[in-house]
Amino acid sequence: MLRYIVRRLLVSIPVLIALTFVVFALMRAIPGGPFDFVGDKSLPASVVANLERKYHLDEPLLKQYGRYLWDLLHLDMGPSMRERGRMVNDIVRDNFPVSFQLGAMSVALAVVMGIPLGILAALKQNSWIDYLATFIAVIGVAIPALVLAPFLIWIVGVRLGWLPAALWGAERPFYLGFIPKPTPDFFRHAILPVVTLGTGFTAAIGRLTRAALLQVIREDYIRTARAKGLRERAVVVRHALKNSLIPVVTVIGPLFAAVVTGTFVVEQMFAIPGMGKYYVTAISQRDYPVIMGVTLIYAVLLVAANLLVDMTYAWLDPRIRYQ
Amino acid sequence: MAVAERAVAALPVRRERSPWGDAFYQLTRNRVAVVSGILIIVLVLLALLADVISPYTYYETRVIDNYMRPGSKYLLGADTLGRDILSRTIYGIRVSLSVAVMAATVSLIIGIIYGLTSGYFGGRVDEVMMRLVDFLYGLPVIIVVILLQVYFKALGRRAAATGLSALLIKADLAMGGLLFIFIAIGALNWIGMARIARGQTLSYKEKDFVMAARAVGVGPIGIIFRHLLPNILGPCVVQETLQIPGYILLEAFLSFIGLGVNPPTPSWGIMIQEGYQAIRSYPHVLLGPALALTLTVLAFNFLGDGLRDAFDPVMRGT
Repeated sequence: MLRYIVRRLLVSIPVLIALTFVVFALMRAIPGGPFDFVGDKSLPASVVANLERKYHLDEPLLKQYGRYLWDLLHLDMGPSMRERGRMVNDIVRDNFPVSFQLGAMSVALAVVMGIPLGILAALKQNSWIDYLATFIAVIGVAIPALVLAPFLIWIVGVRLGWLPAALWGAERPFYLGFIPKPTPDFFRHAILPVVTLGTGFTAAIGRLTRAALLQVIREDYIRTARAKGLRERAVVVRHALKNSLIPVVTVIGPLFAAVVTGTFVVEQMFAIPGMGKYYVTAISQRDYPVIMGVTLIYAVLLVAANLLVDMTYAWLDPRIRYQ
Repeated sequence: MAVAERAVAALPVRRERSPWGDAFYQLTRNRVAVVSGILIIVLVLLALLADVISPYTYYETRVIDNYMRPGSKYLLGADTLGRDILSRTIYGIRVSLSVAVMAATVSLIIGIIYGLTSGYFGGRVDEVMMRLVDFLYGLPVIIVVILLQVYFKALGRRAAATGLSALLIKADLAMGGLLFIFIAIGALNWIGMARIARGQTLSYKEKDFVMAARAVGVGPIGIIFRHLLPNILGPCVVQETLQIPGYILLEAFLSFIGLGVNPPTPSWGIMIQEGYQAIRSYPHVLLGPALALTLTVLAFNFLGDGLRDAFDPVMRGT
């Protein structure tokens, strides 16, 4: 197993390099540069030239990319070109934990609510419970965060005033750099954004669990388990459930990577200081090192999540073995 | 006449149906899917007749009426510039539906051609083409789409372009910024379709009727278009329908972050963005676009599910 993990990590290095290179090439193909405007004013050409020399933007592109990789090897993601005096490392250290907390809680909500919902619907297939659960799931998938967020802000946050409609209540510093203190203030602030982000995932995971369980329950080994006289509960929990979770785990992996790197809409609407806004602002402002930084974090998380997913397979289905 | 014969004659006649006809029959029995289909037809009609139905234009501003609440003058109220929200919501259907249709068509065509080629020729060709797909699959879609949109917007601002790019920029301007949205959304979304088309091709190309066609001397082009394509088209179209809500939401997201259609073209994403900024004082601004976006996405979801159930009765209701 350990050898498998090491090999997978080694294989992922060229993939990461290729991915960052594509994004690097794409972002440098966009006309304009980070020093086009300061506020609404444009800088004199000589100043721009000096700034570009300082940040090595006047060098050949490949050399710049090599320089970036070299710095990366020293765990340095470079300076932000728009937020003077801030390094990309600082941005990640300050903002990423917040996105991580929001995303992890949303995925956790989806797993805790969605999987039981799916199991219930599958076991009572074609009953009113099933129809209700499926209907709710479809609606849950269809209501976008773009609509749910302002709706919750207005009803729960403004009209009823039950929960804060904005900001993030976690106190710094975080344990280990990313785990917040479980204060009441933290949870009160977290409920609305987590529900906004988690509703769609809950519905998606519920539907997937139901579909997978329905398929597994028709397999021969389930019939065998029933034939040897096991109780229905044991058949479902011990034999069917684990296998049916494989497609669910498959989507949770990439989902986790996408969510914990920040979702722009939710963070923007709830004024949460996470990573999400950099995906948009860094690109519109041509803040090259920040664009590379957010891409890299996303890609690394995706590789890690996929590796975890594959390792979970082996645990869920003993027929899967890695050498 | 014998009793038995009379009994048989009294039975309802079941006409034979083609697979497509059977799928359509199954679809009409799914009430939610039928309602969704009707809703989508109504949306299409509203979009086509927007000029006739809308009480106002989508761009006309009457600053004196800004943020006017819903009433007899404006059914859904007016926005920050005093534009009628109902009219803008109706015109917004055009943007959402055209993105749905165009993104789905582009992704379907590219994906099917790619997947068919890869699956049919197999071997080295398949290996190379699928490695490329695997690699593209790893690209963060949102980042690439945003990069492309920023690129197109920057191009549009530089009027110095010549030749093809100038033509594209002009066409895009005439379409209110929609053309580049089609390209940006279509650029990566064919990947999933390519995989599905390849899988379907692989399962069909070993069948006897393909062998028979090859035996009588049909060439690769003939086999691909006459024998394989009609068979894989159904499942591919169904899968594509399931992607449409995603395209609609992606366009709304792009417009929300200011990288979508050019103002004053009304997109529900822009309208939601304007609405949420005034949410504490004027929540009515959000109502029209939010309702329209949710209903449209819901309808396409239900229709896609119904289509899949109709074509794949084994997994019905999953």
